[in-house]
Formats: sequence, structure tokens, C-alpha cells
Amino acid sequence: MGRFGLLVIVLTLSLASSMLAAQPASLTAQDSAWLNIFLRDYVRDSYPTGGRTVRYFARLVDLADDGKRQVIVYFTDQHSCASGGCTTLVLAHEGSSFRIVTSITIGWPPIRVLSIKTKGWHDLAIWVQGGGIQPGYEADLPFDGKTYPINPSMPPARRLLTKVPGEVVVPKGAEGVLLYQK
Amino acid sequence: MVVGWATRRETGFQNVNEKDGAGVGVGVFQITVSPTSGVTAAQAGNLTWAANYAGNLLSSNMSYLGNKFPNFRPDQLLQATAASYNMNPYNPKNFTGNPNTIDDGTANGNYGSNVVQIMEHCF
Repeated sequence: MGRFGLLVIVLTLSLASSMLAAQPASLTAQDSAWLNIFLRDYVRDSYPTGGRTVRYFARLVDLADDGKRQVIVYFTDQHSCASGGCTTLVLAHEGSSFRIVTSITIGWPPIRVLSIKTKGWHDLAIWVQGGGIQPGYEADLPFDGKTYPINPSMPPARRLLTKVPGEVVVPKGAEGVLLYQK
Repeated sequence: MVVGWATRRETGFQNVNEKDGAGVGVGVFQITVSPTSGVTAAQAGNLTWAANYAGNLLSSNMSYLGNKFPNFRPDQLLQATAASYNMNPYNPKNFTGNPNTIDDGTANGNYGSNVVQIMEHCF
């Protein structure tokens, strides 16, 4: 193999590696098990029937592109949603459990991880509609160094006026899985 | 009665079916319709069915919030109940018990208080 061929392989591997860092991914079986334990504990005392009707959709992301993974959880069951949308959690891995980075109160899919960054972390985008907000719009949630805005309809979240590139992490129509499998 | 005032805020009593982004808020009461909500578009679009559903939902939310936050005055409980039509009351982070932050997570940060204002203007 010539020097050019080697260069092509190195460049291809490098490009694939950088794309993988930004790509949302499904959780491993181990992550899913840890997440399930964390979420059961999170909803146990506040949801009707201890959270047995809770459904959620989760995706693994790397918001800082540093190899440390976060999880975006979007709840999809009846009790987690209201006219403004459903609850979203941004979680950071801490050993075999998780820490809540942000709990986003309202909003609808699609939820995207944008290509732009603020304070080192990718911005998030979520659809805002309902509660008198008609028509809807896509809101940009910039990171402030510690957390994301909890309310996508209020500053520091802001309406996106142009389409910003990004990866969909929670698609429209996401149904999710039951927290307590039958 | 909170149902009527919340509906005024949601749609102005117009039949609004969301088509962009979410596409799941249906009818005058903007009831969430999705495969996991247990509500069909036909039910959400039926005024009588939807009014009963929304009334039961708010009654249940008021009972839940009243038990969880016994420190709320009646007017604060009414505001929180109205806010719960827009923001899930069960997520532990959404309602903290501080009456000054009831609306912080709601649409435009004023849903509950705005619905109560609409109510007051009706009398």
C-alpha cells in the first residue's frame, strides 16, 4: 500500500471517529439497567402508582465531545405530559448512577443536539408549542457552564430563527419503553 | 371551572390541531394525543368527552398538589392547579412548593397566574 493509500485510511478513520463522538447512540445493556434503577428511584415517591405507568425514551450523547457520556431522557407517558409537552432530563453519568444536569419542564420532540456549542457543551434544541403558544417554534437551549435552561419558552432559551445543523436524539412520535416492563 | 379558563389561554375556545413539531395537542382543550397517552384524536375532538377529561385531570392534579404542598394558600393552589394543565405536576423538579416559582417552568413563565387573571376578569 502506498503512502497515499495510508493517508486515505487515516483520514477516513479520523473522520469516522469524530462523527461517532457527535452521534447519539442507544444505551448499552449495562447503561440501560443503571438508568432504569435511577429513574425508578426518581419517580417512586411523586408519580401515581409509584411510576408503574411511566414510559421513557433515552439516548446516549457526548455533549462536550470529551468522551464522557450523558443521557437525554424524554418521558412519553400520560402523567409526564401536559399541554406544554413532556418532561426531559439531561443526565450525567456518575459511576453506576446518574446526576441530573437539567430537568426541562415542557417541550416536544424533535429534540436535537446542535452543532453549535456554548461554554463547551453542545446546545440543545426542543420544539415549543401549546399553553397558548401557537404556532410552535424550535428553541435553542445554550449551556451556561453548569446547566441548560429549564424552560424552553423563556430566556436564556431563545427561538431559533434559522435551521441550525444538529442530530435528532428524540424523534417525533418516540414512544419509549415502560419503566416497569410487564 | 378552571377548565374553561385554561381553555381560554390554550386556544381561545378555538379548535386548534397542532401540526408542526409535536402534532399531538388536539381540539379546544389541547389534549395530548399520542400512542402512549391513551387518548384518541376523536375523543380529544369531542367537546363533551374532552371537557370531562380535562375536568377530571385538573381535579386529580389539584388533589395531588394540595396533598403535596399543604403550605399553599387556596389562591396559590388554584394557580398551581392551572399551571399543571401546561406542565406535568408529577416530575419532582417541576413544582417545588415555593409559591413564588409556581409558573417558572410553564409556557412563557406565566401560565398559572394568567389563567387565574382570566378567571378574575370573568367576575
